[in-house]
Amino acid sequence: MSGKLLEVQGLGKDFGGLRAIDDLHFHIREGEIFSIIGPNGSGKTTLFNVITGYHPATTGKVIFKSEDITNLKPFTIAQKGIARTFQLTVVFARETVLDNLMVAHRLRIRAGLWGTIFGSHGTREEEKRCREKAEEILEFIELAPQQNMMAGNLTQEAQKRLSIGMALATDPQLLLLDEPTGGVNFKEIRSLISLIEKIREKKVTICIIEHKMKVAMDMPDRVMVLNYGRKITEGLPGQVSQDQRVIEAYLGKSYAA
Amino acid sequence: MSLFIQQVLNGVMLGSVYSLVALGLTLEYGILHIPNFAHGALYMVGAYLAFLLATYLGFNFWLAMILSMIALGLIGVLVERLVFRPLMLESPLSSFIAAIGLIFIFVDGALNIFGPDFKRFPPTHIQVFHVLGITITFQRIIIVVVTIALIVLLHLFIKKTTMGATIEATAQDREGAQLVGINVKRVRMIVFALGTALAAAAAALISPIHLVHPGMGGPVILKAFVIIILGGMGSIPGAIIGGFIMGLVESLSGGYISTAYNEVFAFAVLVTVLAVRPTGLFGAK
Amino acid sequence: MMETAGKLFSPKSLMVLILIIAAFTIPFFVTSRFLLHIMILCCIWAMAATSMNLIMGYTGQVNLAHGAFFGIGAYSAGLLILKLGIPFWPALLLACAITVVLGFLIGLLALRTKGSYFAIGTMCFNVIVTVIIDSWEGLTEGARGLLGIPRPPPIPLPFGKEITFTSVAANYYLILVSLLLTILVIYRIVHSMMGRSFMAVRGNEELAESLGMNAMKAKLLSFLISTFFAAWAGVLYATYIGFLSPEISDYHVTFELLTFCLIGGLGTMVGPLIGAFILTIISELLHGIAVPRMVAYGFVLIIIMIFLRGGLMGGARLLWLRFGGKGGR
Repeated sequence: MSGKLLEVQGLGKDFGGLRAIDDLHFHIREGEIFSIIGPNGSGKTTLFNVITGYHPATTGKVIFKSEDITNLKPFTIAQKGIARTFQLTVVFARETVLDNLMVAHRLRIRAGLWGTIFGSHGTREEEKRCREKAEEILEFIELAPQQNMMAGNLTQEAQKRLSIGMALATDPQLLLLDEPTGGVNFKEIRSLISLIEKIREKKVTICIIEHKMKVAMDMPDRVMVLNYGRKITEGLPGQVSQDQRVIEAYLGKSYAA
Repeated sequence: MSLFIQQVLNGVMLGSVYSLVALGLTLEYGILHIPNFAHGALYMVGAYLAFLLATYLGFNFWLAMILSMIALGLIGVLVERLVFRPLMLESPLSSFIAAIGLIFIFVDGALNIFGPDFKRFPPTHIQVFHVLGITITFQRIIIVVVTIALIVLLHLFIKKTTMGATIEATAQDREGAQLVGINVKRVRMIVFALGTALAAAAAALISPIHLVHPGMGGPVILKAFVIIILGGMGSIPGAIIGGFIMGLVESLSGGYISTAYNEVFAFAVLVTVLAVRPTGLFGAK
Repeated sequence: MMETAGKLFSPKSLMVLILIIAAFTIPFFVTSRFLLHIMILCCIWAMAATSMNLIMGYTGQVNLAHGAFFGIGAYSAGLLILKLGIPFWPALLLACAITVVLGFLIGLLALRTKGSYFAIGTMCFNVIVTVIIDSWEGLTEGARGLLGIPRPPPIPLPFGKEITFTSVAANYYLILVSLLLTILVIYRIVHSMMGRSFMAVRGNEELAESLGMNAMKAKLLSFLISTFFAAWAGVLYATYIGFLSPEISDYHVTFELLTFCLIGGLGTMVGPLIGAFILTIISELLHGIAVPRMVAYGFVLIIIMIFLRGGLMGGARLLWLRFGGKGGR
């Protein structure tokens, strides 16, 4: 029985008068693929933002590897082992693909001032590790031919791969993917899906926010449905897709049986 | 007690000038989305224009002020068209640096053409009133009155005319404005003309009291920045209220502490506020 | 863009070596004290511009307080030497330390703000510093200025010889070595993982944080390093020129340094050097002529912003690419 990697307890987030997340309880098990679905505005991205420290939680706790990480800064949370991608794909557009990946590993080294200035052995070894990591990820996300291209010149799909690669380069235990297949065509979806499967094989726990049912239902081990910031249901994909409340949330009361 | 009232009145006068300058700056910010660093230099140009018109062409104060406002409005349009428009889609840093370039051109141009000495505006409205133990010159009263008139006119323009609504729309959402057929380029020009005209008014109003010299824009623009950061970049009420507060703070601290440090005081307030609220008092982002 | 460090004997590093050797031999060819004096000023401003480039060009923060730190370094050294009788070398270290400590306090406050707010905040700080130097006459002699700052004392060498700093040439070497050290340190930083994280903060601060980089710490470190070298340049200025007035901390100095960086190319190592050298030489040579220097700067700045964003280095790179050179670096 795999342990709880991430646990969210009684989480609430208010933006002024608007309650974006309401008393949310769930957990993600180590090694699984967990997906979060729900209509637009149901609080999915806000949930990622609160977990990763971009927005402070109004109430409740986020616990990662048995440690309370609620309201820590984003960079601290990344250091603790949670990496994320963004709905609107971001990369360092004016740097090369390889440089993007190298800098993504920076959090795992010291890069101290004196070592840098005097070119100490330790600092040089660190840089070498970053480069090796970058090259390893480059192969993994199949962007090796484009390694010297400006990241901003990549296709949308390649940029998504790159941003996933960058998140992986931080050596995370939990990877949060926010709509990884947004704005991407059929063929590209399949290659992204296989990439995500490969990531699972590397023993990285994955949590996906998705809209496309194929990705949201076929791949994951468990699914959670949100609506208006509240959990409607969670469970195996097969159960969830039959749940009346889910159908109602997406299509309205008239479609519920 | 009378010293206090004197300083308060002085502060109101100063505040009027600062409000007008800050208003122009905040209007330009609403459209440019970056602060126009050259606004102070344009203010200075307005002062020189008024000075030239009054001294060499013998125009009376009102004619000089109005002509200076018009002329500076045209200069503002030129500046927007030639300098800021090409940089519209670049990073804010580019516009900022171009503004610095403008400052160099205007300030050092004035320095070379007119010399560094302080020019004296011809005596204007020097009648003096004695009220409640204090002495006020007529010009000081005019400054406040004209400022209030201009603020009211601006308010009416923005709230009651179509062009005003257009400007508000463009300031809020440039792309949305374009989608509904607003000619954003024309709006930018008009806002710039307005902003610089307000600066010219402020400059013309204060010139009979303070002297005209190439560096006069510097302290004013810095204070205007403090004002719009504290009042909220792009906020018209913020600029007005902030302007008067700045004028009062400066006058009172200058009267009771020391004039050398009153600038420092204003900036220290700014730095403190930014330290506590990095997006300004009313800033959102 | 990340500049490659290059192999040891590549054409690039050979050229650098030649330039350095040439720089060292200049006093033998250039006997005019005036020209050597100009070279010294170029080096001092090049140091200040290169250090400004670290926080502005490579870390992407529009720091408009740089002139203030230059001035604080200069005045600290001047006061330590004149009023406390501290010898040159300890005074140099102390002045830099004082400036860095101040920079740390200011940086902690200022770097909480971003973009335009940071620019305005640092500019205000710059003005405050100049006003304080001007007004606090008891400490700084105010507008009268600090006079009579001595050159560095002779450095004893073996066999009873010594290096004296009375000649312009000797000062040139001292300042040249300082410039080269500055370039070396900043070059190493820029081409390291630390430099990469600075550039990540420049590229997209939010993304950098999501990748585990502490943006505040990176910005602060970059700010402090650039402050350190600004102060050092200030100390060299103080002891070479011998006279200080509040204007050397003025925001005009900051803007001139900014111009140097921009014209040469922000975010390149060579850019600030080119900008500082070319513009200092031009402005010193044109001193007597009635060409309004700053007006010309103004036009140049605007033209560069509109047409030549990457400065001269950027333009050179474009030309290189256009004429078939290998792209990317």
